Amino acid sequence: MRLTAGMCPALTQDVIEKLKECNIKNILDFMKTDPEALAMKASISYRDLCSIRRVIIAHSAAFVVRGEDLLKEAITATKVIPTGTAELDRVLGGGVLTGEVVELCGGWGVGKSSLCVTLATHAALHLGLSVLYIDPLNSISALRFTPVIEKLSEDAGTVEEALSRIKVESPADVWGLLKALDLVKQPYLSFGRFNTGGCNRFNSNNPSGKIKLVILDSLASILTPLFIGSTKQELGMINQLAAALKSLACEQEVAILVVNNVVQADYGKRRKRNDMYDEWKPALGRFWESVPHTRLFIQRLPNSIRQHTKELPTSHAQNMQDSMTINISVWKSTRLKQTVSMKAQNPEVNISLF
Amino acid sequence: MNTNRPLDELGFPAVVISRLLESDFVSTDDVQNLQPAELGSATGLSLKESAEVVRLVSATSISEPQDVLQIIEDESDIPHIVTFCEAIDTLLGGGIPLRAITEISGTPGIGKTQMCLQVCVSVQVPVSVGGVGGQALFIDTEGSFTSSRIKDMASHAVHHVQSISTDNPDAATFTVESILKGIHYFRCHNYIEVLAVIRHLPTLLQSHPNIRLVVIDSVAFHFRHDFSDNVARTGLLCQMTHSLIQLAGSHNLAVIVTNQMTTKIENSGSSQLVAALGETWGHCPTLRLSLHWQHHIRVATLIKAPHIRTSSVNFQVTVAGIRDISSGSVTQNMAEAQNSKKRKWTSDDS
Repeated sequence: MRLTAGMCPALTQDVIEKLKECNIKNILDFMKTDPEALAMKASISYRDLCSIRRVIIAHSAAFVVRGEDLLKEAITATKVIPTGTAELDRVLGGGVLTGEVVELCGGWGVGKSSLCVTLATHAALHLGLSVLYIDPLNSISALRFTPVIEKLSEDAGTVEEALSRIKVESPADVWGLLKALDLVKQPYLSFGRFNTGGCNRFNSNNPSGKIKLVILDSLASILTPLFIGSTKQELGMINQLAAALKSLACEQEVAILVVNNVVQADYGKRRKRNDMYDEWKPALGRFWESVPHTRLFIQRLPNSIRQHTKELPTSHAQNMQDSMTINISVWKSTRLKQTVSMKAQNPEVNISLF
Repeated sequence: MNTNRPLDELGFPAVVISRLLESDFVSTDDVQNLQPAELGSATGLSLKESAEVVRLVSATSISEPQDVLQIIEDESDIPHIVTFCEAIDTLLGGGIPLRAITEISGTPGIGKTQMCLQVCVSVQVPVSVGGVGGQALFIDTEGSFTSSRIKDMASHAVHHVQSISTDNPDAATFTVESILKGIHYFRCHNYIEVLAVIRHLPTLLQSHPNIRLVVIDSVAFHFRHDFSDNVARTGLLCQMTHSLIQLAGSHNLAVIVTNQMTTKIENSGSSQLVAALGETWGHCPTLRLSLHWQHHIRVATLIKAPHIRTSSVNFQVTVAGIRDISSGSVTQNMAEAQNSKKRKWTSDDS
């Protein structure tokens, strides 16, 4: 940190100039120098230097917090955001917690994005929360939302209001992602034409319209382009992003849901650990592996993978009505028992349960 | 909205950011109201570098994000590109969607390129007839683009459009010549050329704002063979997807890529034909359409889609292009297929 005039009454522009002459530019230099020697060298009064030291120490030092207080705060501040699917809530112990980073892993086309959309809609519609949907692949489209909306029983106005509470950002790269995450720190986001002085029925829950749930779909698509070449840049980037996500979840009391790809696991090496680990492991490597608090793995159940049976062109409309079954299992968690698995209906179908 | 952000989140080169941090410029507030010259003298950065820092810092104020309602309302009046095969259109939710990447994969001769050529023609159907009325850009890596096929399909499309709307002035200007003029063609001989064309796209789209369709036929050809490092390949493919999807969103483009098939060995030892380029690539397209044979009938299966679960329909490739199979033509088709499995239109092309 730099020494700036006005940090404390004794630190005037004049004093800063004098310190600069003694080669002291920042707080670190200042704290390392003995005040007595400095007072003589820079001809600043010893009393002033001591008062500056005291202010800096009071300003920068961390507070000691008792564990009991931390627990109390966690209990009162943490909110549970139900997912809207009873089965999934059971696996997650009630839902997604604020302050937690949850990762959703799965192969392509298994329904990760559909689940995210369902979750976002549920949170916005039934819980009245504001949701930030970070969508680098532009996967948010009318096509994706239509089946979810069609299943809702609420009247159009309520649904529209809820949809306007889901904010979408489509960053092009990791820098854009970090910028988009900054939206979470905004104390207030307006809701287009539903911004009628903030008098709606969700006021008591979330008066400021502050974002409570962040969905990042998908992280791998943003980070994978960094893996070109051998600069190790991606490792630094993963670290920075992990720190940003975790501190954001904690400080802003939001729940963060991150979508990740899976890659084929090194066959044989992982066999000992867990059945699920046999074939797939989360993408982005070991550096990322430890970051999320909870990791869920989505799989399509074998019986829902359609065999290419004989079909006439007229029969496809009927097939679309069928439900798809997905299996969600817990791969890693700091608070849940592992290997609990559930069978949920395809979220697109299950939406009527809300 | 005003925010104070750490400088290392803005994407400066490592040299610049370490200079800034060494001189105790940590967040955007530290740089805010400084002139480039002042910053330069304080940090030792060159004037050009400090000007860049100051510019980026002043540009970081956050704009109001879009919400889902706006996106849905925006998209409600965006048409889809019809394929002239109703079954496939229904399967895709109205046709090939704009603002999305659609992958078409399949074995050789199944009709991937035919599908691309068909869409190149049908994207140009005038708006007043229910089309998109745009132009097409064809990036050819395999050398499979055949202009005579385009001509066939174009003349049938023109005939169709003029028969359904006789007194429409737009239909009169929709001719074979106008269709051929509306297809821009690139032949790329290696993956560097493919990436270069994509990098060049924003400029191209500025001079041809009417382009609504970008076809890459096929994306797999170069990317399957020119790489020894799979991680680098996946990275490049992801980067390519990103630039394509950003352009598709901002310019209302439909992007179609074709992909080859590869054999995947399962743990049990059995094998299966799957689309090439690996697992991570599978996440990149918004829709994945897989074409395959089933008893001499061409079947299109949607294997990844945002709106419906996996399902399949039948289609055929005729001299006119991609068409539905009417119940009567199935048997005829099967007989034909026995004669020549591939390039069957040559038999009835007179």
